[in-house]
Amino acid sequence: MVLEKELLPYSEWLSGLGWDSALFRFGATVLVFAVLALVVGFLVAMVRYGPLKAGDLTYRVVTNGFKELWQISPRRVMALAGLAVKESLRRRVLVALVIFGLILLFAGWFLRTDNPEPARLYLSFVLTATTYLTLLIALLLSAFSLPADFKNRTIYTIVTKPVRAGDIVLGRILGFTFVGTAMLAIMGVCSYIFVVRSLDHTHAVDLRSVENIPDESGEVIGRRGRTMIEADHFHEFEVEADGRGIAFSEYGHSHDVEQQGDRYAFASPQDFLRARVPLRGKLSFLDRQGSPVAHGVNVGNEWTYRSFIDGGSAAAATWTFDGIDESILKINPEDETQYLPVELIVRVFRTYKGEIERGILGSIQLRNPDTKVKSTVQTFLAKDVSIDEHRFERQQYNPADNQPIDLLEDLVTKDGRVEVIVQCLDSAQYYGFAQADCYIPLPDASPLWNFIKTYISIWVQMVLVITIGVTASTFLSGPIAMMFTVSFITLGFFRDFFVKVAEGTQVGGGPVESLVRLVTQRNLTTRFEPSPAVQLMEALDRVFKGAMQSIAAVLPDFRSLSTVNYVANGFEIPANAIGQQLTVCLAYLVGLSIIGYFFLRTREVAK
Amino acid sequence: MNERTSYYRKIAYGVAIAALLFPLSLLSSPATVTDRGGQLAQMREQYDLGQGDIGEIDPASETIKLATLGLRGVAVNLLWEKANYYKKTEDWTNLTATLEQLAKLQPNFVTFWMFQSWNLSYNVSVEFDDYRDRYYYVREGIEFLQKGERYNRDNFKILKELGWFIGQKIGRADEYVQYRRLFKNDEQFHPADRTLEERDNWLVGKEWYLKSLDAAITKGKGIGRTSPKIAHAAPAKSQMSYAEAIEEEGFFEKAQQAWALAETEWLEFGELVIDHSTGVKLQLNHQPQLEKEVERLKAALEELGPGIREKIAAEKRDKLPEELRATLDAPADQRTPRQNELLYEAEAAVAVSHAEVAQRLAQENPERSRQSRQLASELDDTERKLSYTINYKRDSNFDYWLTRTQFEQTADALDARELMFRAKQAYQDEADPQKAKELYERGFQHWRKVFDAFPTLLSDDGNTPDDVLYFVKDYREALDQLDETIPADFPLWVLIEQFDTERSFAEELQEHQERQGKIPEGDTPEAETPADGTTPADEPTSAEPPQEDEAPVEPPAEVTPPAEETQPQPE
Repeated sequence: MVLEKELLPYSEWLSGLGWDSALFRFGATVLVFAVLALVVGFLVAMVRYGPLKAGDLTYRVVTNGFKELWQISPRRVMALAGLAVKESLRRRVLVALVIFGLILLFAGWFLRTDNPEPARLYLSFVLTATTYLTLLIALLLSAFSLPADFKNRTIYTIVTKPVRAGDIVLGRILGFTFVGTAMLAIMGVCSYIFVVRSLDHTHAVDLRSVENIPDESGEVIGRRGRTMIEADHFHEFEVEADGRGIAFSEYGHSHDVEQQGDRYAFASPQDFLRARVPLRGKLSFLDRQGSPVAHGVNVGNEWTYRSFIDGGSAAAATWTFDGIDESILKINPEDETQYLPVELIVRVFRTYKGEIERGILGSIQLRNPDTKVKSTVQTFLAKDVSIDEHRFERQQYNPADNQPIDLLEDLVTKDGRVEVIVQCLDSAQYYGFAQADCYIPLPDASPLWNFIKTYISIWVQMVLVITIGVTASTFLSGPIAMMFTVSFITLGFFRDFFVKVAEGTQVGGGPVESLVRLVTQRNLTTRFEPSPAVQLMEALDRVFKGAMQSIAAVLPDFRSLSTVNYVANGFEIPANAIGQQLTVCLAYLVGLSIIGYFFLRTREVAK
Repeated sequence: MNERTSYYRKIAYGVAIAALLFPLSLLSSPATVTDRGGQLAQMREQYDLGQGDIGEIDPASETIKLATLGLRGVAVNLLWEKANYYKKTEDWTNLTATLEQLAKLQPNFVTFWMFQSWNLSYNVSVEFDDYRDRYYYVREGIEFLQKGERYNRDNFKILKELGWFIGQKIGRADEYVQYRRLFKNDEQFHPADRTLEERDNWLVGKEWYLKSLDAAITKGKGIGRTSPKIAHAAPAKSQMSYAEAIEEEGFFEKAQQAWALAETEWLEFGELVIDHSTGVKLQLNHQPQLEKEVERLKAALEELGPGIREKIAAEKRDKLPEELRATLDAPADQRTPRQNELLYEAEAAVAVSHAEVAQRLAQENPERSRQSRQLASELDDTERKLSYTINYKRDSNFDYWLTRTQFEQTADALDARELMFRAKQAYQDEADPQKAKELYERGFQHWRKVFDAFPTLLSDDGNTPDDVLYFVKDYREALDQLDETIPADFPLWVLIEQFDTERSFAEELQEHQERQGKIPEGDTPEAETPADGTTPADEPTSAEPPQEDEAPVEPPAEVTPPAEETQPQPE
């Protein structure tokens, strides 16, 4: 699978050194907001009541605020949450479930079954549909609720009770989250059933193709053949003398086969849904002279995710793995020996045609990072863009002196590090790699739990939208609050682009410059002749860019919150990723609730 | 404004609406079994504007179009962006899924189908290293285009493109051997009633070309901006490619029949009346008739006034300024540079058109005025037609392909091909250079007979000599293994002399020429000019080698679609 951004370990992400740690950024944002709120609040009050009263008011609002925040009562919050749930049900939120049902019912019209990765297609589809639908409901519920209460004056019936503004904000957020969670759970169950049932199929056998498998003495030890085409594919299969066998992997799955007399029964497909658990390493490159370089060669791709190494030279891609011990090794059921499995994805780039029916030759080898002792070289023919497993037996031979060595004792350092070195052997041909392309497979996790985890990340996105929506609705009218939240989400989905524009690294300039380019039909790269008008344009852009940078600091990166990619590609979502997302969610919840509280306090009615 | 005015106004509006509705209902009343319906219904019928007339009606497509609530354009733009992004990030599963969604949103946008199917067959397929994966995406593109064909019935462009994809992409790619094999055994692609023999990419491609012409001609859809000489030649060319391909695979008898059919089809193409871009109707087979007709008309004009043309020319010459006349008088090898510059002008000034002859005839013999003018005009028309015919024939390399279909059917050509095939097998599979050498030598004797029987092969703009030169190279490789060189009695020296543009036989040729006494022994010729100063063209046996730019023009298989250069805008 493609992992464009490296996932940092949780502790490093949260409190690692430098400006980029999450905790530091959160602290800085809170500080800036607090100072800004104090100054603006004070200035507004000063204009209205004069400096002395303003100081007093500001002091009181802040102290009261903090006192009230500590006095938030779970009982009151839950009561208000219950109210929010009732209100949501009254607003026929369950219609969304009907829409979801309709989407699933008719999804088959738009999804093709002849894709070689059907599971990926179906999972991407249901998870994306669920995400968008959930975010839409969250948006509509959260943005219109408080403004409607203000408009209908039903808020009076609440504020006359002994509740505080903080209770109202939190109650709404919690209530809508309950509703959303319940709906998400229903959608999750339906999606899972939909995917499993859509992918389920069996095969009939093409009886003309069935033949006996004889052993050396000519005795029949099994039968083999191929199936009829079902769901746009067929399998080769083999059954042993006891009538049990397997239909080999095709379109990302295999089947168990059982011979019943002349008939063959195919079980439901296996391995469609997987949760591979990879132990990932750190990638480094050597150039064709064998000197370390940051990247390999670019073979002319616009997408620079993978970089390439030259064949038939000293160029190599080396992954350093950590934490290798006996527990990582697998046991070969045939001869009970231990081996280290390494899974590798190779992207091949040919500069000449070569032998069309033969893959490009490469080698893979283990090396001790400290002693530099190497394992036996294994050569392989690259299977372009598919996962290929290489096994390193525990017993290895040192190529230097051909003496036997032990994988764990001689190739792995005391602290559990080992290097995997991959080279391309055909000269003038290239192998391309990214860090995520080589890993050591650990036992698979439960695909169901993985599926649930991806729903947790959808849930996190939903809570974020609800929190933003409710907070916006404390000081904006319904439609405006919705627009505000939509803008927040949209910018969040395109955060990378937004940040690039704000930092000035995006080709085409800032907002004013791109507007000028649009109107005057200039392309992105033409230079402007210096003139006062151009200077004015650039000055305006600097102001906008500054504002955009401040906004970028509080924008949630919605795209990185999505874990659909993991599930669709059959990889386990790291607990670390979920942990980071939940932490981000909590940070937004706390921060925005406080902002919402103060804004609601400014409304006449909620004082 | 009082209440009453407002009331009257509403009444007036109501009446106006009702009045407008009346003609509208007449105009747009739908057709029934007995009634042709209103004007709109009739026009829809006439111009095939109904969804059902364009192609298959797909409920899924209609649903999604409605579900976008009028934002189809926005959705389409977003999806095109997504498709480009997925292509960039090599996410082929999502790319194909996005194309499916786009297909539902803009099923009648023909450029979309052509662009994206090309994308799959040509651009995505080459991203894979395994030829089976490549084939999968070539087929994906073809199937995608077939789907487009169902949505856009009888669309000449799509049908023709299908013929091209199935023929050229499978049959001319680097991996054509593997692709053709996979295509033949592809049970998922072929309908169940297509026999193994018919599962040849060139034959299937030909079927689509024929369908495209059927749609264009029989169903009156027209061929758009495609040149008729290309559109109509395509089925016969596919047949030739088929014959060529099975010959290469070693099926010689079948190939002979295939070439015979190709000849018939090529002659039928030559008989076909095709429109020149100026509207003149041409038949490529009719060049000899036109030449005869020109001769006859010229003679008839001459008969009306013998010597008139020469007389006018002489008069014109007399009127020329001194400098121009001197230019014309000067012998070609003694003209000054200035005279060379003026030559064109001088020749144009003394040229006599048929109309001028007719005019003079009319002046001299007024009673023959009508006849002479008519003859001159007829002569002009016929000459123009002849020149167009020659141009079109040259563009489609008509004569070469006709000769090709004819010589390939001869016993000598068949024997030659078979011997080449067996020689290659002997060398590559059996590693027996001696046997290969013998087979090659027998084969070249047959090739010699072919070239003697069809001498135009050595002067036509064809690729047969080059093809045979490849066999000669293989032959030399076998000889190398045996420590021998090409013998003096090799029957195809003429080929090496004329067609070895890469000079890969330079050494052998020099030795040969030394043996023949054409150049002194031990003298090394310069790169281009032999030592004795004669160029190959001066030699008695040689004919003009084909100019590279006039070689039979087969567009390369791996070209980017025109759409790739100018990004089509979503509908």
